Amino acid sequence: MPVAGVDIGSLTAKAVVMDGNEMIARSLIPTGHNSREAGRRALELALEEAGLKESEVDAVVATGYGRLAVDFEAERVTEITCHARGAHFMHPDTRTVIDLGGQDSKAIAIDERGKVLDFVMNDKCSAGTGRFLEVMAHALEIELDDMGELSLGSKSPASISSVCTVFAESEVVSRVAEGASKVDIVAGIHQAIASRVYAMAARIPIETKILMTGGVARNIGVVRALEAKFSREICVPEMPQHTGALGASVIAREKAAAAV
Amino acid sequence: MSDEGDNLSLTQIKATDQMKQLMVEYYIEAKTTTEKPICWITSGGPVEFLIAMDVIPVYPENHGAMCGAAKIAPGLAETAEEMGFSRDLCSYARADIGGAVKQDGAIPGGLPKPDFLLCCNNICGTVTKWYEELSRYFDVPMFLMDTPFIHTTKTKHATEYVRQQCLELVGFLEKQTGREFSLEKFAEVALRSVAAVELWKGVLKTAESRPSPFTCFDAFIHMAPIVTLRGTQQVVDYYELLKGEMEQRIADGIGAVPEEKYRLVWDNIPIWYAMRSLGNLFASNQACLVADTYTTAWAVDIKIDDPLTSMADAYTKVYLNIAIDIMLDQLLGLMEKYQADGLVMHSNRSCKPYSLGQYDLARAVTERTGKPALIIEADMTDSRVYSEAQVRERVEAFIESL
Amino acid sequence: MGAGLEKLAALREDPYAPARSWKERTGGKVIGYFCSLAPEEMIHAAGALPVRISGENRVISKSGAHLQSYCCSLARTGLDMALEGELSFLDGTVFVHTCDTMQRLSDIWRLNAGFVFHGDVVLPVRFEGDLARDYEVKELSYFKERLEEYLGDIPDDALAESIKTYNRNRSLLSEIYGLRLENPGVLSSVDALTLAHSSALMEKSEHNTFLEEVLEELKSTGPADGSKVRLFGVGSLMDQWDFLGMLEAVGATMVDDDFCNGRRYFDALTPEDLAPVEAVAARLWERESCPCKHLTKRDRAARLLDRIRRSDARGAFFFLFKFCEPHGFDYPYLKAAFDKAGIPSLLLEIEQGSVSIEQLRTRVEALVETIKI
Repeated sequence: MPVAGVDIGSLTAKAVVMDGNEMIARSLIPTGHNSREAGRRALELALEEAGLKESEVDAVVATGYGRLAVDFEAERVTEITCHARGAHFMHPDTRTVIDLGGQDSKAIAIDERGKVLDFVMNDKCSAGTGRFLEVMAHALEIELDDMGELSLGSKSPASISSVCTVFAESEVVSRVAEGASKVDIVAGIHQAIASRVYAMAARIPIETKILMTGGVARNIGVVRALEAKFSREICVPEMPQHTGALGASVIAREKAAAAV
Repeated sequence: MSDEGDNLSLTQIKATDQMKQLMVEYYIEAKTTTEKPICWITSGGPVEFLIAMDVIPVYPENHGAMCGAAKIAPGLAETAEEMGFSRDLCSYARADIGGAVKQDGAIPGGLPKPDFLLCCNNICGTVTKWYEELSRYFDVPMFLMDTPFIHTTKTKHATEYVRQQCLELVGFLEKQTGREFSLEKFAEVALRSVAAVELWKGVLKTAESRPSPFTCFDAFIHMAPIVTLRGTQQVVDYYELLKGEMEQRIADGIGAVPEEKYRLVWDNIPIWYAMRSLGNLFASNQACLVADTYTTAWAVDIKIDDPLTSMADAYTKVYLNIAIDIMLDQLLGLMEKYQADGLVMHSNRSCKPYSLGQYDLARAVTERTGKPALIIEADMTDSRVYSEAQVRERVEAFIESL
Repeated sequence: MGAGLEKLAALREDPYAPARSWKERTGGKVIGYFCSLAPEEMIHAAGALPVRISGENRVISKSGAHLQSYCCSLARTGLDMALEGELSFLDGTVFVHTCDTMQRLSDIWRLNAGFVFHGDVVLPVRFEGDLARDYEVKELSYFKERLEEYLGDIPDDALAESIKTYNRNRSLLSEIYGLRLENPGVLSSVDALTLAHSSALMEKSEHNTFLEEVLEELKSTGPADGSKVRLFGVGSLMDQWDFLGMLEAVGATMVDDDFCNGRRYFDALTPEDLAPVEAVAARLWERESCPCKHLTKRDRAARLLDRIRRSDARGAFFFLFKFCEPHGFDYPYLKAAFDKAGIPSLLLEIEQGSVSIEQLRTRVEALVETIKI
């Protein structure tokens, strides 16, 4: 019986439809300012792709900060539990999940069943999140999506030591003025994010294997910088942004099974 | 001590080499000793008792300053942050706890492990919490010398409480070292401490001359012996040398800042990682920082006829253990004595007892003297919260206003 | 809901209304204080009303000229209220030596807030040993003299009477907390904490009458919903009522706490068989301690874990003010001890005036899910 998971994040809304043990459809759209609408739209798109009607779905779980806003019938579970379950579903040997999303970052320690043991999240500061990268890309006048590949060519990353987004931005500007190359500056930005995330994540036990999820996982430069900081390989799933929605659908599947 | 402060004076202080050697020898002895116990002590602590008991005092705060100047403090602090210590906590404490765990720091392998701890809360309440953590981490005993804060009155019962604690400290040290305390030896140490303090005051006093033979950035470097080793003969010898050199500079008309035009007073702990750039920035604007509230904090008075009572009194009334209106009087005195044209305050995220109240002090100083005050937002060792461009902008605008 | 409980919501809305009306009614003097270690019984015995000041959710304006942004919101918003004239019902303020921030706030307050009376109680930081105890008693006697200069004589029998009134209040609150341990659904976390919090906002014998009413209501309530996840709260002051409401909404309840406006406020009785000043000193000492006090012989983690076990809490949350050093330094060691004991915990750092309940909700829900699943 098909089930669905919907993850409404600050920047994007994602939906996943599962049938049995398999993901049969998924969607991803910008959240915009109406998270209720975005959640509904993401679900509809995924259902459309799966060729299903809403009434044919057994259970839906909503997650992400917009989970409370949804108007369709759904259980609500936090993105922490959903990321843990999604990561476990894709890679059962995952013990640490690093999720870097648009406005928040989190690290989750999970056990062999995908259960959350402990977690930490960033405070209000946006350093270490997708938002931080966006501000920096803007300051450097480059495309956000190009940052990852670009930084791999750096031989000597510029030093960006500020922890505050505003200060870091002015640091980036002064590095440009000093003549540092964009390649080195971007690499430096990635290192700054890695330090910030590591300092947060280190407050929970870090075990192999580490799985990285969320939109920032698509930036290979950040992944490499994190690997260097953690001295461990970091696995990025095929669809890092869908991990929460996938976990939500895994939970929906369990709920549907329990209801039978 | 570090490569940061060495060339701050455009005219190099010759005694620097001696001081460096003194500090290197001290750290080598602390790292290699097999007989002498090691006690970690706070910067405002009564070190005379340790010297008299042949205990080697080790100062995490001095080491924190070294780590700050060497720009390695943020890396050490990160280790503490990973343990769950918030970034908002004192950066000396974070760097020290991180350094203890990593066994790393400005001296190879980090500070030697303590056998016991002596914490005096006359500088802040932070040290109590910091030393409690050290006591748990190293599993060693901690003695808290509790010096009641002076808001409006220094009470008799507070002085008596501190005096009694000095006696209790003696018992603690006897138990920890297995040695007997000798009042005679203690008196000798106290005498040398008084002598060193007098000489240090003399050094600071030479900056009253125009031009001033040194800047507070020099004082920050040369204060290391008075903080760590007062009570020893080497420190007395060292400050005699330094004082002589400064007096010679006055005789020769040599100023630390060429063409000294403005004289300023510094408030708060130095911004260790930015000392060179700040020193150059002020010097290039013909401004000399002639005095500060920080290095004068170690000018503690001890009376030989009643060392315990006078020590209890002296350690209780240090600059950071008094209310801001009493601080204001001292600050005004300093500005007058050194004929200062303005005040530069470092608003230090790491140090609340030093920084909270600065806004009121700055206003009061300007009201009372007509002299402007500048406030720089920074941290003593955590360069991650420092914006050099912003500080430069503010300093230059301030000097233009003089 | 009975009449007693209905009053609670109003107290959260306008915490100083009882003090203002007491002053209007009696013409007596009102003395504010920040720290729960303030020797309230002495103020009460002098016929004045001690009231706890605890800042509030607001965007500060005037206090920004006195306190830096890295100072805790308790000090910043509290001073702002004073400078804006919102605490004009106070005749004086008492500061107890706790942390570096309160120490400096006392100076700034004395020089700027403009109240007639200003008292400092420089309690020892050491809370053990004869030397510190002797000093504590002397400092309290010294403070009593300063207070008497302003408020008039405080006879021993009046102080003894106040101690009785305060002890009655502590016993009642303790009984209510006890009822909740048995049957947490009988009273929400918000209401339970408001009961303790409001004790410091009104005249004690009035509050006793109020508590007696509430206790009667609670006793007549049968077994209530016991399905909520039992949590233990740790921190200094907790005044985020919306947060506690959210906690209940996501299926959790705070069964016990270590807040200084909660359990710590009414913990331990003042001995009634000692000379009054010594008795006040003795209770401050015996009371569950706050991290501003240094105790080598009492392990705070062990004591908290013991309370967690006795309250049958399944998890804990640290609700700390951003920039709070005493609590910040204790956190890693407490967290490690909780982990070792298998108590999952959550760290929430807040500033009054910029608390985002939505942001906190996700964390609390995740903690609840961790415990439930």
